[in-house]
Amino acid sequence: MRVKRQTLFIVGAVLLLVGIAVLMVIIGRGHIVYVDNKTVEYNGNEYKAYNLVELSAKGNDPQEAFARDRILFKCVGQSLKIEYEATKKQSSSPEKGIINKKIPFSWDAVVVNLPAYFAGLPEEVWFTEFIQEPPADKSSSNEEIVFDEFTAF
Amino acid sequence: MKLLKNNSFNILTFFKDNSVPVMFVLICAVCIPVAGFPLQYLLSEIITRIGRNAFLILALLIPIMAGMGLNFGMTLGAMAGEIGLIFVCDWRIYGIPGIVLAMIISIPISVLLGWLCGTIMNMAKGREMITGYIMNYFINGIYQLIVLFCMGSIIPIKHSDILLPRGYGIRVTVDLINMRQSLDNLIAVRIGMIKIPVFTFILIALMCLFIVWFRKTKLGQDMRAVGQDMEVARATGITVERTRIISIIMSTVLAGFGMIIYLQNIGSLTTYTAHSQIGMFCIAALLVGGASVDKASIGNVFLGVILFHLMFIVAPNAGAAITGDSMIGEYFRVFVSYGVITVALAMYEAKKRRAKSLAGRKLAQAQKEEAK
Repeated sequence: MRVKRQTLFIVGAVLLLVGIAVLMVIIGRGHIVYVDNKTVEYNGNEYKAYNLVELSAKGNDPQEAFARDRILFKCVGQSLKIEYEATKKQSSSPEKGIINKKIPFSWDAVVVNLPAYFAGLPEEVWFTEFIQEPPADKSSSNEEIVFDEFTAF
Repeated sequence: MKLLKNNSFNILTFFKDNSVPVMFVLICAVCIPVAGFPLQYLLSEIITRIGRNAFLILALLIPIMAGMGLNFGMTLGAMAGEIGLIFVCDWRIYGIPGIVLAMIISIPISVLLGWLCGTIMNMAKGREMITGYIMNYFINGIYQLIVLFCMGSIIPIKHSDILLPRGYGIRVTVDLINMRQSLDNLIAVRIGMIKIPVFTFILIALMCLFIVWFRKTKLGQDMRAVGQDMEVARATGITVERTRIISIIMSTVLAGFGMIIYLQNIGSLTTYTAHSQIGMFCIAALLVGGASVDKASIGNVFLGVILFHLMFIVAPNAGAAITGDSMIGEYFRVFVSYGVITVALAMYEAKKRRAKSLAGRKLAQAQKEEAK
């Protein structure tokens, strides 16, 4: 009876830990969000970069993106929420709004193109996965690990 | 500290019982003015280092309670913590969830290593410390095999920024920028230039409470009984070997957590060397706090962290001011770290022999009187 109780306790503890681990993976998954204020071409039309976009996202300092700028945010979890205040030309009044988007779990980094988003272009134009290029030549750039016979001691 | 003995203060007994902390107080008292650091800087550094190291040192208390001496095998837990952090970095889990996940990943590895270490220590009763010390090298070899050759080839590692450019093996340094000081900054209070990592201190306080509570539990009492006399404990029905293994497993798991707390504060992981000296410095700090091989308290942990790290902070500058070469201070602090362990072990052995010889003399005296 005692052994059975002990086994149940161990199984319960393991399940609890696994549950917490899964929860941590979901709520703690981090993504890099690159926000571009760059001119974009789509279907032969050109969508110009804005003069200035002020952006703020939870857990990050507010940032300003001038024309042709790329800024970086870190997003923890799958919900991306960026508040913006965009000024198209120096003389025009700013537009305010919020970008709300779910980031796919498997994406490490995403690129948000602001002019495409403001122009209401399809999602695949303004919200794309950023894939980092792997190192060009693995064999030529070996990071040498230097050990002497006493390193371990 | 035993200030009072038989209701009267005996200065000689006091110095005899607390020779190591007193020596370090004197060293610090000489070095602090010579080093010339402002008080605010020293306070800030000490608070940071208490937050960084106290949990690791607290992990040493349980095996001492079980009579297994200073657990040099805590390094195994540190390695488990590092493996947890490597996975969390690769899976891109940021902040507190990343730290919690690394701790959860470290648990099964620590339990396995702790069980292995405890089992081997049971085969080498009376020589637990040297066994633990040598176990470090053995497991370090396996750790290096896994991290340097298996990760990226057999164990999937997705991101190239933590892999060596050859495509397998982990880089010499792994950046923990996404977790850096997450625990410390969760609740942080600033008083002037001094940052107090309140949340880390809460965790340390909880750990202290756990140790106080654990001592009063059945298992805790069993460990104390085993620590006092294994044969008597066995005669009272305690499963000595199992109790000793549990104490080492607990210490290893807690050391894994401690290492994660330590590394989140530092903000980077030196994959192949971060754990190598951690056991040595934690044990040295505990001994500096007045602990011995068979007796240690929570008070010893905090006094040890303060004195040992104060010496660490001021020694290079004091060395430079006294001799003109800061390396002298550097050598001095390393020399003291090893020296204090050597002295503590020698004193423990001498005390044990003295007690044995006294018991022998008493027995001889009793036999003589009986013969009369």
